[in-house]
Amino acid sequence: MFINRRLRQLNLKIVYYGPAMSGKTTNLILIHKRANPDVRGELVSLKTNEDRTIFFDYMQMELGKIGGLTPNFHLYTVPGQVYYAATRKLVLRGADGVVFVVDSQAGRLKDNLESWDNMKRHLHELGLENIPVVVQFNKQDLPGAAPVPMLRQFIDVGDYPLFAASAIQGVGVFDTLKAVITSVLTQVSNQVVSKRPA
Amino acid sequence: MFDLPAGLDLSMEQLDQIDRCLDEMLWETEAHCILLADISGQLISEKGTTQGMNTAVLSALAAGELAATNELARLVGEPARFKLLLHEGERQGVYLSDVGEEMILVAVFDISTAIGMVRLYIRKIVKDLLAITQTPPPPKPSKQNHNDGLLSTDDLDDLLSTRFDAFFNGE
Ligand SMILES: Nc1nc2c(ncn2[C@@H]2O[C@H](COP(=O)(O)OP(=O)(O)OP(=O)(O)O)[C@@H](O)[C@H]2O)c(=O)[nH]1
Ligand SMILES: [Mg+2]
Repeated sequence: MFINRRLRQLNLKIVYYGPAMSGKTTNLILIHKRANPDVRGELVSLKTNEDRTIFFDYMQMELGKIGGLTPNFHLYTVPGQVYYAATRKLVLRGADGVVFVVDSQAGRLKDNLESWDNMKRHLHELGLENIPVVVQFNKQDLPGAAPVPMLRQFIDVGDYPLFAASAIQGVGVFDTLKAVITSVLTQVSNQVVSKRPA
Repeated sequence: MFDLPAGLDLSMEQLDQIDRCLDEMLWETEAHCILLADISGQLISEKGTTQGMNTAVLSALAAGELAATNELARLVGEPARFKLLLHEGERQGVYLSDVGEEMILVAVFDISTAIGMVRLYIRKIVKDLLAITQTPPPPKPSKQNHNDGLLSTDDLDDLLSTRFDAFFNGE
């Protein structure tokens, strides 16, 4: 988070995390496509020829004023492939909120769990264990997708908000985004309030 | 100034001082432009000719690159960090530097500018910027006012329940 008091801007970073091919980039592409041109910046993708994220995707979004401040969201995705672990951690630095994108296909359960544990460890190592996390169960449109209640039994999502989604069809993408924005803004305002002298 | 667990919160005075610092360097070195961002790539200040340049993206990429470079230093067993990164093009050079633990500096120069001078200036400005941001700002007369209007529950509700969807009607 970076507060620019002159521009009255509240800069917040949200990171889409999850296993390879779970649909993180697809979420961002859709958000970018649907967002009004006057609220969104350019979508930048650092990727291989096969469209796999190699470093991150990035876009910026400014959602009007709240109170006296303009929240400016910086959305990132991490590269999900296993060997990019170090890069994932770098992208996670300074995050104010995370969306964990699950690949709901039954055969991907192990990858999801591994990525989830990785995320937890990274957040801990970065001192970010208390930032809001929202979980998206993506690819629910596929016939091989496990239903959300079943996936929940395996992935220890605790009290985090959950959303079923099919990013490719545009289902659940905005609910997820709205939830993470809500959690992040609520957390920020709580911190501010709780630091006020009694 | 309230004290948030992570992140930078710079006062107007500090931002003004930062601007003066960047202006001075711009003037002295004839850089095309200079950007200061936090380590997650969020722009703090930009000076010089940045029209037609997407500085938000530029600083996000620079932050990623410096983070990767520092990791690279660690992997090859370099005890210190790499201090300065230089990309040389045909017409322009881009320099990236950490500014302490929390900020990064990006400077774009004409390729004809002497590298030695740029290095020197970057070393100087890093010191100056650290001095500015590490000095705690004078205590505000009223903390209450300082935070006023930052975020109220009503504002939040308004954004999320009535305005949010309107941001996303493009197709
Ligand atoms: N059926 C279906 N396919 C999806 C969905 N979301 C994404 N995909 C597809 O899954 C593939 C991978 O999507 P990406 O968004 O690139 O995945 P990623 O998580 O960014 O992958 P990495 O960058 O490698 O970590 C693409 O072919 C997408 O079209 C979905 O909801 N349903
Ligand atoms: Mg991707």
